[in-house]
Amino acid sequence: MGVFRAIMGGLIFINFAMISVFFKDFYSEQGYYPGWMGSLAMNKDVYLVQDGSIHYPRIDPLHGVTDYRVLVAFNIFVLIAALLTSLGLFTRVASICLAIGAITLHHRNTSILHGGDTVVRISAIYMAIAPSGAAFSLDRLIALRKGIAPAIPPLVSLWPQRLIAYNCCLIYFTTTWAKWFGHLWKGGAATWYPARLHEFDRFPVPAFFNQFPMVYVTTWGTLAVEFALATLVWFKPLRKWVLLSGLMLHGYIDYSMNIPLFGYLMATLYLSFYEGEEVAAWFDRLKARFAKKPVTEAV
Amino acid sequence: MAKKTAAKKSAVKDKVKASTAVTPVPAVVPKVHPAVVAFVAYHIVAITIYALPKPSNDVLSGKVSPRGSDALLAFNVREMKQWAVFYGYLYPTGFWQYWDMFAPDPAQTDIWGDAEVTFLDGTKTMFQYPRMKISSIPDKFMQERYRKFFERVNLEENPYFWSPFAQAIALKTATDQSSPPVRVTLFRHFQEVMRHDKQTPNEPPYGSYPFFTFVVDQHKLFTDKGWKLGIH
Repeated sequence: MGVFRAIMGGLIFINFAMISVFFKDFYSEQGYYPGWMGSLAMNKDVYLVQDGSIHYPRIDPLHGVTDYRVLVAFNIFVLIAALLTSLGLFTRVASICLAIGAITLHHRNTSILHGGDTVVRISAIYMAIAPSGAAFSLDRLIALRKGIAPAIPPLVSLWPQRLIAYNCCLIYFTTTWAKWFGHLWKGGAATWYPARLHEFDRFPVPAFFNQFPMVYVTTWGTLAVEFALATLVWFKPLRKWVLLSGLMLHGYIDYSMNIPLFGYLMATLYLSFYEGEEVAAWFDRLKARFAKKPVTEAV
Repeated sequence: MAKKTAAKKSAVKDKVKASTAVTPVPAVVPKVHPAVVAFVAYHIVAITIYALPKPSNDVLSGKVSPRGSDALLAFNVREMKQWAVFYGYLYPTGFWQYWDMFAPDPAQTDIWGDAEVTFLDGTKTMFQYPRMKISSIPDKFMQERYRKFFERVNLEENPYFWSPFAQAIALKTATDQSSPPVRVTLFRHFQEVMRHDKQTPNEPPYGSYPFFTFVVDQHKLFTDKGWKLGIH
């Protein structure tokens, strides 16, 4: 969880920092999306109830707030919380503040959100309810220096980490199932279309990648990888290969299409499939490989 | 030389083995409170119900009676998603989620938007809303939210987006107090992606048409600009 917290916290910071550049356009009363639209849009954008009426209170400290200075201050508060969470400093408080901040900003404006933002929001909540500062954090480093933390981090229950892993699998399982209703995905032609949506163009891709028969490979390959990421990933002998295929899938999407941060956010979720001992052992192997060679060898 | 290489390799292997020796862990496994177990189970059920996809449109509209997994999905949409015990938890807490990226089929229309602004003195100008295709790679990386926003503005079922959008454009283009923007017309530009089964040598052209004309709220405009009202 510590490594997950550090990386995801950093990505969440970058995400909100990017939005900060255009904060006025999407969060102020003078922008494209004044505050009153938030309540109305929530009922339509979230697939919760068919009659569109929601009568439950929700986490939204900014409800009714129109003063731009307050909105900016709140945004800075969220950025600081993200940074502290990533560093693992005052982790419990920072992660709770980050979760509340992310939920609030998302409830304020759902119109600019994509799948990566949902990953941001749920990850922030999971980090807040997990002991995410117990390892790989400044909190632990400070506690060690003060002599109040044990040399080996205490064992914690894995349920928060398993929840993140389950949610990751749920993403892939449901998206694969939803795609299966599309005749283009079943027919093998789906990836032909996003490659020609020029508003998503990013780096150039060899022409044959977006022609048949490569389109069949990328379409059915996407379905296969996503399904594997929902199922086979739990089988340890195959886990590494399934996750590597996921990295390749998101790597290609990130290279060819302008969907900022989404691939990185999804890849970070993959960390939840590795337990603390495995991560620690990996770091140890890495250290040993770069360690100084013994000087006793004869020339 | 071969002996030295083998010795080197063996030294590295021994070092790796020593460093990966499992550190002894305490025997006590933390016990999880039954309330936590119950919450985790409830949470898993709740997010699963909300993430499950909708069945096909034919099933939803009643044209076709659901069979197999469609029956489960139809029951999920019509019944379980309406239960307050689930949406009453997901909606307030922010755990709501639905994963329909490029599903059921990817978008097949490329869209972008701009606006024509008419000023009091009769002059007109085109307001260029950020367009990803003509932006540099760093710019489009930063400005992707604008594309996402217009994706929502563009929808016919979101007319409540249009007035605030147009008013904000008027504010951005207002520079002369004596000739403020009085009308904003929103344009949709679209290109139907060439069909994979009906390929042509060239991509289809973009079409465009106005979809909303807005009379600018002068009071709000002047207030937002900090201009003195009553000039006209």
